[in-house]
Amino acid sequence: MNQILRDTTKAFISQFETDKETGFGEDKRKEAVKMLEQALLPTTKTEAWKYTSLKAITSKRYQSPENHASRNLGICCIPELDAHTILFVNGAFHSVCLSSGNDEALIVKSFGEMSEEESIIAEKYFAEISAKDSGIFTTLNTAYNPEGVFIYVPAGTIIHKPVHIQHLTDSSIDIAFQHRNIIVVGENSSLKVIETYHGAGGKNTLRNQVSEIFVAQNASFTGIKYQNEGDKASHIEQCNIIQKGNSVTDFYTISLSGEIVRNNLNIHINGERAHAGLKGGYLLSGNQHVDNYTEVHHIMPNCTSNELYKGIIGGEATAVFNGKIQVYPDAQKTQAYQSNKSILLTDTANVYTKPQLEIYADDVKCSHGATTGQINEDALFYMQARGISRADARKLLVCAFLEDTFESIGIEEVRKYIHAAIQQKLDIQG
Amino acid sequence: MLTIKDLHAEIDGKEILKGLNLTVKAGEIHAIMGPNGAGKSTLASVLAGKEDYEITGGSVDFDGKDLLEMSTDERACEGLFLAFQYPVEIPGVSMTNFLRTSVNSVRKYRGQEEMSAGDFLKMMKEKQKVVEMTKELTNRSVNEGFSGGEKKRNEVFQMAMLEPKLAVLDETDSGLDIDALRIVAKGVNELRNEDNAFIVITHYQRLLDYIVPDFVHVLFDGRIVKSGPKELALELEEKGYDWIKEDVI
Repeated sequence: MNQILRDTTKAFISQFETDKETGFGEDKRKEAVKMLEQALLPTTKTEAWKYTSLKAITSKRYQSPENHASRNLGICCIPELDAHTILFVNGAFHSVCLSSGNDEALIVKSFGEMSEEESIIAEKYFAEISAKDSGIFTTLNTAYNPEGVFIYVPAGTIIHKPVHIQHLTDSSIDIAFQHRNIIVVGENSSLKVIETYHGAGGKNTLRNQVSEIFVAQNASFTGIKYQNEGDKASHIEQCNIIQKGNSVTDFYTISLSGEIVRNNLNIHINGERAHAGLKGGYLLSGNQHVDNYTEVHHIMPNCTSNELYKGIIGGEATAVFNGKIQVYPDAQKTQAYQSNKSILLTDTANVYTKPQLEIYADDVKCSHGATTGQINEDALFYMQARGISRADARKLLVCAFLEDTFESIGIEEVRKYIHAAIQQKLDIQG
Repeated sequence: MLTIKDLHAEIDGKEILKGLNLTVKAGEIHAIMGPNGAGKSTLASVLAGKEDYEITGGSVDFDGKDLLEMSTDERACEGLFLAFQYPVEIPGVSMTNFLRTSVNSVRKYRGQEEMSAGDFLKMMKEKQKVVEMTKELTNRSVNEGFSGGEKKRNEVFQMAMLEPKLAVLDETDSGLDIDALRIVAKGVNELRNEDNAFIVITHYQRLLDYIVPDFVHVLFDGRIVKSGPKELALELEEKGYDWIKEDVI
């Protein structure tokens, strides 16, 4: 037994311990607390964490957030976006604003505001797929997290306006906190959720988040995750999505900053003729480290998945991509595609990419590909020969490269917002 | 407008231009011909400022300014245009976005205001006619999926948008069928006036039937070894370059 790792793990867990209760899922919570007694933090010897060291996180002492007031709430808004919004500051529920209109059946509640009936529904989905095998961070979240949001769309309901979950981290001390999403999209329903992460205050922060998303028969779900919490913000999320037959999920992950960012995205396609689309874009600089760890589980036949992750890595930043496609024995006629493309801007930038195909059915079409390259010098010269400065030419090329990862987002205001954020990051770096 | 004096340039330690002299005045069209490997494309690249080439001697004066001191984009903003032999495909960057950035960069350099979106689109529409560019092409990414002929027409289209003082056409005729050649030539002829000038680099006399030069120069082994009126091109077509090689040696 490694005593040092055991001690480190214990100290790490203790930062999150709390007596606060949520009001549902007590059995699972107790079970998780018990599991934590044996749990160990992963190290770079753990295969799934080979390229992401947690030292930067475990060497820091974080406190529980005490103050949830902030003068910087405005940075969470997406200009001109007409959405239902719910805001969390340092992990704590701040406010909710459901825009009036047709979406009367939509439920968006922080855990603390839920009615008894809602708690009963939420409990059914809480820690359902992420109970045992999702690792220590998920267990920790299940054990000690009274905060989160429950979004519920009943069967046969099209939600017209997107739900915007805003997360602001703004603290004058180093803090660690947790958050949980439980999102249920009923049969024949549709929902779009935008989750944006913003930072102010410039302190070291750590977010440990779990999202559990259930997409029922014939339902459609679009998830957009936009991370820009700052250079000192670390972010670990386990996002588990279960899809039923004939459902469609499109999930976007855009990362523009973070000290250690780990996005675990785990999609279980558990019904026939369903489709999952995964797109990710990242623009990294300085010492930023972003690790996208994705798994697509094709459990049933006649399903498709398409995955595209693209990144531009500068400075001494590191990007990690792991793309696992698992095709189960029954999942005949699966079509699963995956691609990861990176551009390195400097000699000191790092990319690790690892596609993993595990196929146990014989009638499937699967492919994966990974490329790493530099900015195209010929294209730069061509643009300069048309009077465009080298810096502007680079910006155009970088935006064009990343655009593939978010141009299919059906909400124009969000596309524009991401585009502008990329431009802004490039302007700052020159 | 352009005075090149004793220009020497090398790439990877190999000297390509070995003392090239050329003077181009406003209103003139100069054709540069010569065998493979003579340095024709190097001359075009050096004028545009490609960094792979090292200038080891000589000078280039462009309208009273030292061209060699300027970056590629500054040269373009000063009014130099290179029509590429192999135009580059830029996936994801739309023709419209590319050209608007280009036109506005040049305007900014000259202290002019940015063009409004409406004015810009109007100008695009107008200039498209010059080379019979279709809207389908300008809606795509820069050169992406363009045929060889479409790429060359696109070069002339960009030239029409930027209205340069001096345009260098680097083998714009290569790979063109006769119809495309005619369209490209028509574009150049429509753009030529008393205040601008063209350097047309070509292998074949054919293009010069459509773009009639005032002078023809033979580039051989990094130098201009013979200059003459437009009839020189015909003579080259007929006799090849061997007699010139013999003359030089």
